[in-house]
Amino acid sequence: MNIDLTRNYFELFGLAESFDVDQEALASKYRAFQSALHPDRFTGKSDQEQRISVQHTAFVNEAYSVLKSDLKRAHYLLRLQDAEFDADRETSRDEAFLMQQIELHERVAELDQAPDPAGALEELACEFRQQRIELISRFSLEYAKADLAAAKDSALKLQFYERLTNQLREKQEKLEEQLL
Amino acid sequence: MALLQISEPGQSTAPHEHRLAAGIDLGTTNSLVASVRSGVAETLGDGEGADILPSVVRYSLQDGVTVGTRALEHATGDPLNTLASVKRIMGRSVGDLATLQGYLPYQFVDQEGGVPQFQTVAGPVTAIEVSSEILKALRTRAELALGGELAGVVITVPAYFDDAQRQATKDAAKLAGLNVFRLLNEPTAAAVAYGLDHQAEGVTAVYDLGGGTFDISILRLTKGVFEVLSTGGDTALGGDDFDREIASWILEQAGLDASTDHRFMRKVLEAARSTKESLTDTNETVIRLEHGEGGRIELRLEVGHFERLIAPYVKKTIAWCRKTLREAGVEPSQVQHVIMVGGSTRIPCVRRHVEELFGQPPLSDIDPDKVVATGAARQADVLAGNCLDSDMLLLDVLPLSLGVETMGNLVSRIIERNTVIPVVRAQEFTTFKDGQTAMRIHVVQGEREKVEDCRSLATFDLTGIPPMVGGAAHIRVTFQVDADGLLSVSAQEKTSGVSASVEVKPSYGLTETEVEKMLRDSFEHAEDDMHAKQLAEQQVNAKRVLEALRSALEKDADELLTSGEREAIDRVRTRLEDACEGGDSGQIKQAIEALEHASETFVQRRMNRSVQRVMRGHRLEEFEQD
Repeated sequence: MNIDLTRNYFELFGLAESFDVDQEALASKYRAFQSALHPDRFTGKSDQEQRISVQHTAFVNEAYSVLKSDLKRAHYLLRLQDAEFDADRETSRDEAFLMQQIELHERVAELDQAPDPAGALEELACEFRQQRIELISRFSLEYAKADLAAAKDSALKLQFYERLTNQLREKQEKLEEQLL
Repeated sequence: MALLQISEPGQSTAPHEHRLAAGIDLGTTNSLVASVRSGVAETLGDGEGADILPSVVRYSLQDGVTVGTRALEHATGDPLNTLASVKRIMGRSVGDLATLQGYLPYQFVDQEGGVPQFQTVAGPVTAIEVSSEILKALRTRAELALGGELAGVVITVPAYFDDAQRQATKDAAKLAGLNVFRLLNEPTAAAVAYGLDHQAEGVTAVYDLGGGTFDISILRLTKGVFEVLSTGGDTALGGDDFDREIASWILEQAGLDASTDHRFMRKVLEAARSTKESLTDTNETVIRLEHGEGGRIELRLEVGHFERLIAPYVKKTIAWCRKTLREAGVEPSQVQHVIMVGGSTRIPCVRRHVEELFGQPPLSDIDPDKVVATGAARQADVLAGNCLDSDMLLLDVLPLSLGVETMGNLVSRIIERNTVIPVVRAQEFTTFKDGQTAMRIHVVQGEREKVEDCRSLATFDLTGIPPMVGGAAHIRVTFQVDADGLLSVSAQEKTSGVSASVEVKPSYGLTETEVEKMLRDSFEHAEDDMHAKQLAEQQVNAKRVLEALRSALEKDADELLTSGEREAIDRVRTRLEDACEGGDSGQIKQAIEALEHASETFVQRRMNRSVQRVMRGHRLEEFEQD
């Protein structure tokens, strides 16, 4: 395949290689790409053009999904600096943080037994949101200072909260089903 | 006398010539076809004033195949040969029938696996064939109304349809001789119809409750771009369920059992449906039915009781709305427009629940029956190239995650649900044994962890892997989901660069060969007709390729090709032009492939230049519309 799609995502979208991204500019550039490249623009054309359009659109979609998400963008920046990590194998070395994570997992698991599960859930969700905001701004600073070790640790921690948030969401769905 | 030039209908590639296109809403209960005429999207009637075509097909020895109202008239008299609601088993397996039996009071061919077949007087038929009869009827209607052959259509499907259900719909279209521009999700179609007519902007929720399916989609509308943020639903929940609940209530009250009497069951379901309809504007209704030898049933149903009967279903849809909003990262209060689609949204209690969730009354100035078809017609018109100044663009998502089976019957996710399509993802696999030259990959769709809880889509046999030590081969399998939401798979062994060939065995669908065979069988003089059709198809294809290349070369050859490159393309182009003159479809096909190969670099360069232009921040209008 000789498509020139090895491009750096930031470069593709005309953005500086930094954690802080102007989401509005990103979205508008994304729509401009789609308007030019989407398969719907090639319906009357040869199968070949349609196929190449699909490949390009898919690449732009992938790039956009990475740049749009805080966690994915953080991972991607670390990868560009060769400080990539495997979220399934590596973990933070911050013991206090890990202890706190165990405790939070338990709180999520025990939500059903709370006197007011919906209220307790909302409280936890709020707490996770705040923690995430804090970790995101920490990552942004650390990355800007080129302190990659610290940035990597913050990204790992963010990953923990991502998982917790997903678990909480599943819990919420179960609770809602029970109310039916 | 001047000679008039008449091109083949619907196949002209000349610029700015209007190509005939239509949008088709292939519904569980009713189907519609719409088209844009003089800038207005409108549904097309049957000549007798009816736009809605009941999705019912009857097979009879005397009358052949009848579709729509004429078929529906026999629903009670000839229940086993009059097939309704077949959308429910599109893309389903024989094994799924048990759970669907109550909805489909038909006789099925007793078979071990494969695509379920209805037993009719005309022999066994699949849901795909039944649907193709509905599509043929709509095609005829559209071609009569528009005065020519359709260049292509957009067919809508429930957003929550999985790959097998989408593929089945596309196969039905193929059997009906339709060129499918795009499969479009029903809620997205509704958003298009509404959004374009009202110049709406902002976050929009589409609640679509039809006869057999429920969808909820959250979209963001920005300057003609319809971006689906998330979608959810249930492809086996709809107005049919409400009818069934009322029917069981009637039978229970009357102390009757209708499980073996197909005719009587049809009558009860019919009575249930009209009861449901009359309860949309009254508080109480009386059901009168005759049964057996002079038996009479007379029952009174109050709206409050009806609402209790359907409450579990309505609540289920609301739970889906909440879940889908969360996936979109949107609070109910942030939704600016709520669009209701599907006949079942006429039920006041459904509207009340939706209003309560979103904190605003749903929009009521759109016809919930026609909005999907008119939206599809809009997109068909754009895709046909009839509105060159349109900025309209639809960005949709994959409704259900795709994954592969790994050790221990677990699913390894490859593409998450609500990922924007088209999407391409690659995954590496390795061999287990020394010298292993083949590998089987099982692709499933769904959100659960265990393989058996997900829907099996297909198995792929990779063969031709060069023999190596176990674990040494790196096979890169690429999963691609196109703009129709359909999956395709390719594979390559990385160290040797050998492409492993992939053979698809759809778990619940038809193979390509089976579709071809059905197509062939549908021609009376099979061989001759098939050849003529193939030749015509290849010639149309070739013309399309040649025309696209001609206009591209005219614009960009000087800028993007050296004279040597240009000559090489021209040589192969002449070969295709010559092949077109001959009558060998195989030769034309080969020449097309050769030309595509020869012009690959040129096409790539043009696409890359489009990328460059967007990067440099050119405005949209500066793109050539070619």
